[in-house]
Amino acid sequence: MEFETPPTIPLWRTAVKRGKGTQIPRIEASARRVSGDADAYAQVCGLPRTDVLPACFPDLLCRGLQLSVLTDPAFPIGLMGIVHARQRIEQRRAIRRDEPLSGRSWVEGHVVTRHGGEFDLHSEVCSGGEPVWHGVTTISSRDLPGDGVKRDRPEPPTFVPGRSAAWSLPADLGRRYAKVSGDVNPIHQYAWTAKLFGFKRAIIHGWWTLSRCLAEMDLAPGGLDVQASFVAPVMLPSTAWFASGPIAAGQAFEVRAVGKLALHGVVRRA
Amino acid sequence: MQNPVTLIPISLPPPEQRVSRAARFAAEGEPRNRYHLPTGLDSPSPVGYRVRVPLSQAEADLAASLLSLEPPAAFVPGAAPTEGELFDEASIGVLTARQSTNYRGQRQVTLGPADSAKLAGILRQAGHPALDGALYTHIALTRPYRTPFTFLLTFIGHNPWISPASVALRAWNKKFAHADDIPTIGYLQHLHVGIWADAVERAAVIASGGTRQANVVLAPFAGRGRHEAIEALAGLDSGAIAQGWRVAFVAQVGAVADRSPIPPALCRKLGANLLAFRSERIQPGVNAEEKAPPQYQARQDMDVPQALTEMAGRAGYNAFCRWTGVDREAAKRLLLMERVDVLTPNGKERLRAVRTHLEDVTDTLVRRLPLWVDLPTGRALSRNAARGKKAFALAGQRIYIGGLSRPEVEAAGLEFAHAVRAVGAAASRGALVCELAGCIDLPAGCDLLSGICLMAGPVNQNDIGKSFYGARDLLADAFPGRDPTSLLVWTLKAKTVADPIGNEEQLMNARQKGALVDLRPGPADVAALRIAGRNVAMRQRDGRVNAERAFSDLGNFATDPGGVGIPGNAGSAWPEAWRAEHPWE
Repeated sequence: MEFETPPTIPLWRTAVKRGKGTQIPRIEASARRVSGDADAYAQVCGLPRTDVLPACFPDLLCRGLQLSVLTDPAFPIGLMGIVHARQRIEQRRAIRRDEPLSGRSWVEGHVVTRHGGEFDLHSEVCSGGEPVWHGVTTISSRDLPGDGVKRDRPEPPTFVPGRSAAWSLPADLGRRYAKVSGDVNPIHQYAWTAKLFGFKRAIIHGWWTLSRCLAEMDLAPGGLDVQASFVAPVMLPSTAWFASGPIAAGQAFEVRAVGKLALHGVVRRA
Repeated sequence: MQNPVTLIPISLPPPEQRVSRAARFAAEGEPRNRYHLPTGLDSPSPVGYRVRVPLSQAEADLAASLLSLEPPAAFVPGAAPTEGELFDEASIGVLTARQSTNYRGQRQVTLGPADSAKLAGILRQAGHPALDGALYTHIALTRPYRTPFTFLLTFIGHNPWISPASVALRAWNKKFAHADDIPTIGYLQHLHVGIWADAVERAAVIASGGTRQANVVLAPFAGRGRHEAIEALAGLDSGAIAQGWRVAFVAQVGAVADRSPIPPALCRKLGANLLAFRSERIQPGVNAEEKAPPQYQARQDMDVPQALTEMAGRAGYNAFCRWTGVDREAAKRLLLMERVDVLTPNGKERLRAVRTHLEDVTDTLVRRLPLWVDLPTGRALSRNAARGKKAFALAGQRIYIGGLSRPEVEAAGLEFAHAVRAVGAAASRGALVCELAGCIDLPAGCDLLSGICLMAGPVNQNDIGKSFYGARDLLADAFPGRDPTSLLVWTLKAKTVADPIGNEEQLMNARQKGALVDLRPGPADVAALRIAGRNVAMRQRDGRVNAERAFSDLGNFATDPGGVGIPGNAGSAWPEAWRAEHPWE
């Protein structure tokens, strides 16, 4: 699929998408021009407005392309109940706001897990044909057939916190982020809409949490390699506890909510 | 006019007595108390749970220059301040320049260079000492001291038969005429202003790494009069004026030709230490609770050297002279100080008599509280009043009661409120001598070597007795025939274990807030920058509020004995892109 700009996929198409496949074929969508409101994004994530794009923002530029891929009839999985399990971001260099950018998103194949499968949703942003940002969103789904074999999860890195802060997350944060990102999944909106999908309260988007972590670390503009694992949801409203500290490979970070680890990751300079 | 101050080191106790707080997290299922580490810190305050940073004697000698700072004679062209420098300065100025109650009756509006020039013109026109070339100017604002404690005072000292009417009348007068229940409550506002003004002078030096100084203009603002032109520059609206907000002082800050002898790295260390200093109420083995851990129960063979108390006094007189303009002999005559510690003749008996007197006042106060308000509230008022007894504990190797005689102050040509401000400044500067000395060659395993508690509680209690129950002033016996008004009590302590971290938690955690204290504010609560005719709250931007702990590069945060920190305590730096901004460029 090729577009001039990423298409807008209505919510109902993601809601009605069903499937119970066994294989994920390669599906790709691209757009010659991608752009977005970086100011609004920076504001909702607590980032300073600078002349470079926030490290997580390019994913948002590819949102329409990602949804095109995931709602494609050839994509064999329903979108309700999929879980953002891990995220990798490889940013080659700082991306200036005024750079003309193009985008591409694709999926292909999956790995079998105990209760289903995990697939990688790739997103790439290019400047003048040169790839400058690549995101790999690992999503787990129970629509894929699992093998019942228990696997060890990677252990979060241990570190001595150099920074640690409490975040008071208001009840409307999910709605505010949804306005900016276009991700209006009901689990992020209101307690009652989240309850329909089995959550006690609304939960904040994983992308917001990751973006806020990078904001707290206040990384200098430049190349980055970020790896993050989403372990548990962060409910709204709540207080979440962020911590980061140096490790041999870079900076480790984590977010805890209600005493439990919700997110952990590592960021390295690329 | 000011004499040089030397910081005298404290001798260590025998090794077996070198104990520290060593607070740890409560184990799972263990009931938490004030001796355990807090479970987390969610606060916009730049302070956090901090520990003292050791100073060498050489560093202390350099730092001592802060205790006899003279105002600058002129400003020279200098670099515009960054947002980060202004934050650092506010952190050791308006945000912390006070003792334990952390009274929110102070706000600061900082003007850029253009408005600073206008303000200098206004000051000069009124005949006040103003300098040209200020990079920025703080307008310090203050309002009458109002806390839960002053709310309680509304119900005190009434005739039981007419108390419903007289309580209502008092409340009305407090709200609309800014009247005080007892005179010393009114003086508290001025004591705090003096403490703050003195802190602003040091803060300008420390936050700039020794390149800037503050020219603080205090005297013209001691009265109740209005200064409309300056209020307008600060953006003070009619609502704030009706609440009693007034200009307390003006601090012009600019670059100076002769930079401070304190090197930038030492400035950082001093800033981190200033954020670690706390009221130290507990003398191990003397006034610790029964449930306190063992390190609070054993007496320590330590003393506050006589030479250190002399230096604290010298620094205090320096401050009194600096802020009133009187000479040293006049300062010594005007500032009334009674030493009442256990080493003075009959000191023990005198301390016991003071304690008994204050407890008698409390008992009378509780007995006479109007039942129509105390009973329906489950005796909340009387319980709170009785709880205050703990705050009057006079423990320490050196104890002083300080005050002024109003007739003598006025005969010297000083406004009484102005002199009270100078007493506040003198008290805090003297306290700083003791606190800094307690960091010299501080060995591992000790939290401090000396500390101080500056208390207004005992004099307020005595004032209740004076105002309503016919008691005499605490200083009346020591200064017969001079009509003294006691204002503050100093208790200097040599010890190695800091007060329980729960005392600090009362100031940092809304859930642990004590009945009579207020929380430490964040910069957005009390500090604003005047930009393009608008007051912009400091460190509140794009959905974020401050989570940075000032001078955190020193890493002086409380941890458990294994080095595990308190979640949220180290804070998170304000984005560098914002920190590096020049607000008025």
